[in-house]
Amino acid sequence: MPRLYKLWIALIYLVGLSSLAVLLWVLGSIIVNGLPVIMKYGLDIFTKNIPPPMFLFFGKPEVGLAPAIIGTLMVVGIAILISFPIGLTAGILIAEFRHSKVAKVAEELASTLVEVPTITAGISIYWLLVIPMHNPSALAGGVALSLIMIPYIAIYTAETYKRVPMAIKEGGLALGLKYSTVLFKVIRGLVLPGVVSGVLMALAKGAGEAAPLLFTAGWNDKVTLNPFDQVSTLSVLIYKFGFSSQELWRELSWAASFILVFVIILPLIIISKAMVRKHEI
Amino acid sequence: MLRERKLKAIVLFGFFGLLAAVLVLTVPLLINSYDFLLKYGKELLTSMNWNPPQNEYGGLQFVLGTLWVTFWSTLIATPLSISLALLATELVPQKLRNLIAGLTDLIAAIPSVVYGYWGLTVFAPLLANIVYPYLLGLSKLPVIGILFSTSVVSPQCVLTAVLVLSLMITPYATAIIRNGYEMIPKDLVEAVYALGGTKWDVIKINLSYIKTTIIAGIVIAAGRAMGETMAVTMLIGNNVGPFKPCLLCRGSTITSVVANEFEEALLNPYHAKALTALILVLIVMGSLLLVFGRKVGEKLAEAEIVA
Repeated sequence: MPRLYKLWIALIYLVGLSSLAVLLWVLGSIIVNGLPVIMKYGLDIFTKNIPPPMFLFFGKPEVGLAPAIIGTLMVVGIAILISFPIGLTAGILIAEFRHSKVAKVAEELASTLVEVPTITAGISIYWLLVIPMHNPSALAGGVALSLIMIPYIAIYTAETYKRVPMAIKEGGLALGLKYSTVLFKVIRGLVLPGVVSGVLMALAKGAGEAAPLLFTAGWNDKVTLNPFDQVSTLSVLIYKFGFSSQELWRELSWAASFILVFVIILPLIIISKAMVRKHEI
Repeated sequence: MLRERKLKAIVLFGFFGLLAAVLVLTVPLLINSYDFLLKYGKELLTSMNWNPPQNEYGGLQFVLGTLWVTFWSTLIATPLSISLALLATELVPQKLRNLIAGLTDLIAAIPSVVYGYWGLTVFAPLLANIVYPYLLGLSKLPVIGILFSTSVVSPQCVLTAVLVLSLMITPYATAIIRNGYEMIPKDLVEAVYALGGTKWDVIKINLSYIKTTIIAGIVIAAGRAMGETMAVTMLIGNNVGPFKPCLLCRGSTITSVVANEFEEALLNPYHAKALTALILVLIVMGSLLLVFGRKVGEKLAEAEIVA
């Protein structure tokens, strides 16, 4: 009988470690397939335009991902401009007035936003913005992404404000300070790391999303800075080129995966986790 | 406390911002599909005849496909995530615990489109060459044979999508179960040891102590699987024919048919509206899942963000 439980534990080890191994395999594949492509083209990857389909080549094509990298930054940038003010203030409402009806409704709304599948944002914004504007654009993509990022910022902010000890807030109020002064000035140092960490998580989440952008951001193989133009993003490029029969395009999908995961998302998440951990009481 | 005008204005801005976001997310879907639903709504949920050029919009196979894929990927992810959570909290040496926990968190952040591309180029060919020929042999068995009976083995099929999907949702469930596990009062654990219990007894008692958290984690993971788009679209094979309870066949889900067809659908207004209506159906299915989840677990939204 005592042997039997060791068997169970061995089984848990086996299942747990093998699932971890497969997950590491995914990360490993991105490095093994993506890094050589980036080494091959060097800095061009970050500065040159996306190559057109093979049959349109005249001579040697430009090979780069600059439009997708800049497109990703533009779309995520527009999204954070919209989602930060809403997420922050909604988070404060949810945390500081948590016994009021409004705050409870706000919490429900935030959880609704997280639970809805992300492709929904792409379809609604398509009807709402792309049809009236006759064109997909960085702006429409940014609005679609903001719908996904808002609840992240709101819930991180709320969690952070809830963690500030009541005594500190009461101390400020006892000194005759206004509640807004307490919330925005007195405890600023205490909540800042948590709020920033939420923003970084939302950025990481937004940068990797492709489904909301498929029909809203469009496609562009040249660099543009106009928010009303179509843009390509790294995530959409991985999808589009991933199905291609052209070796060059599939290589670019790997390079884009590497940049997206190791240059953009993982650093954001590591900084975000480090910020909260350092300031934990 | 709300006497302060400025503060009131600020938090109300947050409230109306959230409200606007929810309306922006849902109202355009309703407006652009209600006339379709009036005309074809019944057909959409009862027929499996999907032929938009002929204005035939039977979409039941997508609903069933979504449920089928969600069921299998959740079934596979459940033991994986419980094992991973136990490793990171109870089993491996203290120093390695943070490493395992940190790794699963980082892996949760890999975008679904990257999982899809990995599945397409690395995992699917391997499965089709090594594993699937054996599974095809099982098709002669009674009852479960139907899961594996197909005329052609293709690297892109329901099972490929299910396997990659279960990998993707495992870290979410793991994070939630791990959080619950860490909240277990230490005296409970000490009491078990004091009574002469083994580590296995502790694990059994702890797991039953956090039953609701485990269910919450699994429900959230199932919700992710249900709404997952990119990886599924890249891996499931995209066959819009009638639903078959089969794992080695090519299939489709609501999200995969929308991702695949929405762009071309714009040529035919009813086709685009049909896909929009399917998204509404998906939202309803997700809400039903969460209503069930709320009955057993609490604080789902926060758990979801923690993941």
